[in-house]
Amino acid sequence: MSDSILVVDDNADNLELTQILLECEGFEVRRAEDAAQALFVLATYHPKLILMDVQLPGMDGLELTRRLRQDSSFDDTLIVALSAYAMAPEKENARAAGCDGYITKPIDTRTFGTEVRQYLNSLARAPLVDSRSSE
Amino acid sequence: MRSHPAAEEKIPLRVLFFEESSEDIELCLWTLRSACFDVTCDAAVTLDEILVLVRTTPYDVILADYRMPSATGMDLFDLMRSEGIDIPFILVTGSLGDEMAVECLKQGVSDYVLKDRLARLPVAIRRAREDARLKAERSRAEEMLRASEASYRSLIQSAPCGVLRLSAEDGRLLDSNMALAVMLGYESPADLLKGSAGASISLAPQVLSSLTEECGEAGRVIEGEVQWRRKDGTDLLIRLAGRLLRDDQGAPTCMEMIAENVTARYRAQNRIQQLNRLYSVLFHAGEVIARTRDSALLFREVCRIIVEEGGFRMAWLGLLETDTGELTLCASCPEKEEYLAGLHVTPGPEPKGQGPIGRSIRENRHVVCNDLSGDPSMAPWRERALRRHFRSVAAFPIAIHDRPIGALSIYAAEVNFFDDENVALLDELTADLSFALEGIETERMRQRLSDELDQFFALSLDMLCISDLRGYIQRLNPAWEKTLGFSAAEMCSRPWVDCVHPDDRQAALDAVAGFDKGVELTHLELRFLAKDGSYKWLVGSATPALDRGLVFAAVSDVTERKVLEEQLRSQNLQLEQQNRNIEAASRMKTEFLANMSHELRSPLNGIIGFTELLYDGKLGGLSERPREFVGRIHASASHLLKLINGVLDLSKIEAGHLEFHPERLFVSQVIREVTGILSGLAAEKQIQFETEIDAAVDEVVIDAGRFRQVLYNYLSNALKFTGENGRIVVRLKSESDTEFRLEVSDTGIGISEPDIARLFVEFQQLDATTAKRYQGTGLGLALTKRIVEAQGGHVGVDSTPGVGSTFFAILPRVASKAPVHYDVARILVVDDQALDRALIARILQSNGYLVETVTTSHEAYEKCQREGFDAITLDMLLPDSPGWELLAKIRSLEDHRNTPVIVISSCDRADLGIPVNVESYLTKPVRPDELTGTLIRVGVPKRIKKVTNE
Repeated sequence: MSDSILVVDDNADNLELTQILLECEGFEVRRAEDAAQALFVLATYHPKLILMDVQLPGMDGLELTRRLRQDSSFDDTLIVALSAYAMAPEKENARAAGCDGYITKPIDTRTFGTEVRQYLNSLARAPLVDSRSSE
Repeated sequence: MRSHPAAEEKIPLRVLFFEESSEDIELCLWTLRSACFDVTCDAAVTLDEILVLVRTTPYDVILADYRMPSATGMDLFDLMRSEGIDIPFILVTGSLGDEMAVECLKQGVSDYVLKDRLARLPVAIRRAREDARLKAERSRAEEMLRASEASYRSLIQSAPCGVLRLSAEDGRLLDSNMALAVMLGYESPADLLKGSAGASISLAPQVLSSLTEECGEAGRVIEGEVQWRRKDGTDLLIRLAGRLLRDDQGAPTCMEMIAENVTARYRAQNRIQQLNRLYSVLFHAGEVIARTRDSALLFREVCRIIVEEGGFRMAWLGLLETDTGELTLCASCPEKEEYLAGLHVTPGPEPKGQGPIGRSIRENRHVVCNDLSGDPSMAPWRERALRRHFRSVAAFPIAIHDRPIGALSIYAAEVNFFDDENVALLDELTADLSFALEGIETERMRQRLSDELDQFFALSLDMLCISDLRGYIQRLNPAWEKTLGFSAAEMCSRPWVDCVHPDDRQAALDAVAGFDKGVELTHLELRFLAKDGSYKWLVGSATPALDRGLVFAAVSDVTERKVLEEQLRSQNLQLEQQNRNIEAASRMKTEFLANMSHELRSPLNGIIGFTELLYDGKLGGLSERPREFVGRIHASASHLLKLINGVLDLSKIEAGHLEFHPERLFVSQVIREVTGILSGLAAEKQIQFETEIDAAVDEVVIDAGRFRQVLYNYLSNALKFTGENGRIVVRLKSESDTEFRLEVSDTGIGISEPDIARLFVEFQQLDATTAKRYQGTGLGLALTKRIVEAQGGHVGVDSTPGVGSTFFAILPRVASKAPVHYDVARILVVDDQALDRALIARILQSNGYLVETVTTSHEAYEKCQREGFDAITLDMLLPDSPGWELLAKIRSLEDHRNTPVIVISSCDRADLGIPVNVESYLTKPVRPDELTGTLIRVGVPKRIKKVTNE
């Protein structure tokens, strides 16, 4: 059975792109466009990994992460922040909120799947690398 | 005479006859018996018989014949005389010539009777007997007188007082008793009489005449005193009292006198007089001393009193001249005494310093010369002194606080006047005089001090005043009127609190209340009404003196300072506001860039992601032309992303958020990687890469990604601007022990001098044509510079237009993990003077520095404990502790061990004796260019490279 992933992103295009890339890698993908939807999905769905866009309308991704981290039923769920912010404080904030990793947008379609898989396989926190912020 | 004696009473008569004729005897007897004599008789014819008879029988009469055979009657008479037998002797003779008779009577024969006139015999006998009786009586009386005189003499001789007789004619001594002789030191009166002429023991003629004239009447007691010299040479004062004796004619003969030695009494009286005189001197001098405040007058008066009251010949007072060391005459009595003209006295060791005066000053004690005629130390002055009848002299030092400043000299007419007792009294006088001088001196000093203070009081620019405890000003200086315009009378007419601005009045009233309790006022600032209706800012301090009910206050006008401070405060506030605005703007810029990059990256995520999917054909292949276009879209989007990332990197660096992860690596390897990536492009332009590696610096610890980025930027730049067949050399060299140098040299178009300055600035390509010809973001070099500098290195370029360029980066061999960034330098200003502080702060702020100010050592140290500063300016004279102490404490702090310290002080450097090393030293008032120049010299430009500990 393939690993299940919830992608939370308010940008429909990016949500679609992420889903396609992940499904191409063979993951089971559910989507949510904001925190409310995410919570709704998570009420019935228990993914192994949540890719969490930081900037969301209403409750932002970090706040949602904090909520989830207070719920022990998500202890075995990895949360990886997915953000177009590329500043050091953002990564720190994400980690402080309870994220296990951080992937910078724009994503590299050629490596994205591998990156996600690494998180899942190791279940360890990958180094917080800003993969595309520099040449 | 009785012619008929009473018949009944016969007169017994014993007769001795010197007669040879018995008839004659019978005849005589008959005659006598008939004349009523009861006669018994004996008769002898020789002298011897007579002698025998007279010695045995008391005969009443001898009747002798003149002519006897053995001897004459006169022989018998002479014999009787010689035998001392005094019996009436009558010659009874036949005849005797008249001459003979007279001769016999002259010899002492009582009578003679001629034999033929015997009838006369009874009469002769009677008369002879009467004569004999009278004679016997007289002789007895004489005897008694003689005895009485002898006893009187003896009384006089043994009298305890001197008794003497002096000639009234020439006053010489006629007689004396033993007591006088002893009094005058002679063995006996005779001895005295003998020596008296030589020793002038007599009355001088004038004394004599005055005495004799004085006693016109006989018997009146005369008296007088004489000075006689004893045999041993000492003088005695002798009082004589007695009377003048005159002869029958009334002419003076001699004086009988009693002599009394009154020398001791005289001396005692003399002594009492002397003491009285000296006490009188002390008394009057005491009065003058108490009354006089002028030393010259005091000296004059004291000298006058000594002479007039003390009966001295002269007194003078001299004071030492400080420059010559000689004694200068200050006062004398008599004034203008010739003796003092040209008198030289010094307290030195020369002969003129050996006199009593010089010695008294030198030895600081009185010196007495009791006989000027004999004292060798008086030799220089003796003749002059004796001419003026100065016989003794005493000198007394005049001292102030026991330091002799002169001497008082007193001359007496008497030898040996200055005995211990007199000198003790005069010592007292000079002690009083010295004490008075001390008082005058002290008073003079106090007066001078007071005058000086009055001068300052009048001169002071500060307002000084003395008020009572209710706040009424009692005395004030002119500064008040100059400052406030109110006259002294106006200022004193009401309590000063009334002039205080209503808002400050409570503070003023509190201060006044405090004065009542003795509370000092150290600093009070308040607004004070001036006559023109404005308020002046005054700052004052005051001390109450409760025992006198006064308050002493010093007040300055600080209105100008207050205004200036107010201006400075508002300027500071403006600057702070500007600082805040700049910081806010900077923060907003950073936030804006971060947000913008986020907003831009989100759509690019879609563009790049989907074009990659299309291009890679993961969702089905595209035909060649559409795929090429998708490729171009992807390339454009990727370029846009680079731009955005570049901007983002810049803003990260600005915000200090760029991270570095130094790791051990070999530079040569990185060079190989990067040249490998770019080798395709190089090959297209037929450009040769060459590398020159110094193996010594090959291995370094540095962030590999950032280093790669730097090399990539330089190489891609070089490739961009180097024509075909060009040559690019990458060099790795050692720069220093701690740094290495990366160089990229090309044979490209080169850069002109003016352009070099713009090279490393973001978004600056050299010109529009270049931009068109050479595609690029314009951010590469700017980023490279920032990245290198953020690691503590620096970049640069050497270029010759048309020949080529060499870009270099110097980096630490072992980079610190902490990023280095540049920030505005912060300076701590330590100064307690408001104006100085404000001036320094303004200079620094207007030159772009951030400034913190403190006023005390304590504040400065606390601030340094909490915060870091890029430099410190320090005033050495701080109110709480010396500046160098603060400096030592700051230096002991880890963060400030090497912080540059610039001392800014109003003192000369040498005066400060700074024991701690400082970077630089400036003197107030400090000039702006001096201060900024110094900061740059000590390595603190306004923007400073920083290592932040994130």
